[in-house]
Amino acid sequence: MTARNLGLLPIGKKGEAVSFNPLQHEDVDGGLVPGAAAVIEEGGWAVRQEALIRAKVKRAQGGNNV
Amino acid sequence: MFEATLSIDLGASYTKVAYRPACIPTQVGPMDQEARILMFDNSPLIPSLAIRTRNASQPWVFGRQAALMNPDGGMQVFQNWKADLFRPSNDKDSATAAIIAHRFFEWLRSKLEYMGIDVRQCQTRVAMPTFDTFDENAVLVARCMDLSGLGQPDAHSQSQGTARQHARFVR
Repeated sequence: MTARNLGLLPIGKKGEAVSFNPLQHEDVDGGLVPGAAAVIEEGGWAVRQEALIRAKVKRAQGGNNV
Repeated sequence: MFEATLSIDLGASYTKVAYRPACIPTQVGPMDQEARILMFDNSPLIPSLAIRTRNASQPWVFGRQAALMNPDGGMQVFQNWKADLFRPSNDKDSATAAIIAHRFFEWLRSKLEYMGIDVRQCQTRVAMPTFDTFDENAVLVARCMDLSGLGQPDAHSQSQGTARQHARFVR
């Protein structure tokens, strides 16, 4: 709540399917290329378009690299 | 009157790019056209980092995206390709760097076109580190840029200033 009041915006929710963007997401296991299917493990925080804490992601089950 | 100018500061750690739109007077009197620093992935600094992914759909990643990736064993990371590009000897590292430079300028051109900048209508200036082999390096970079669709640039040594200054003071 404090983060939201300070103007921070959440990046993703746990379990959410996303397209990997290194500027917004941190690849926990390694090997993801931008655009690859990924799942959020832990949400992050951003100010406007700039990520302060990137969301931690892993490769989506059965997902190809792109 | 002057044409649109693209100025690329090919620094060792970061590349910086400035753009000054064409200035075509429509009336008599002084005119002013400021250059602006371009932002790539929310930053004016493009890290000198290249990653070869071995993924057919996206074989190369550059800039901040590359800097923030977590490469696995199947990926190749090139951190020092600019230094290899300007190496006076002609070995496998310098050959690799020339290929990376070509890919990098292709990536840069696509980014610029996405921003709405018609690179074919721009005169391009490049600032590079000053070496004894500056002329040879300039020819190499110019060839890489030409093959990447960025056109033949004017090359200048780094000591002459930043990308913004280059864009402002050309002509």
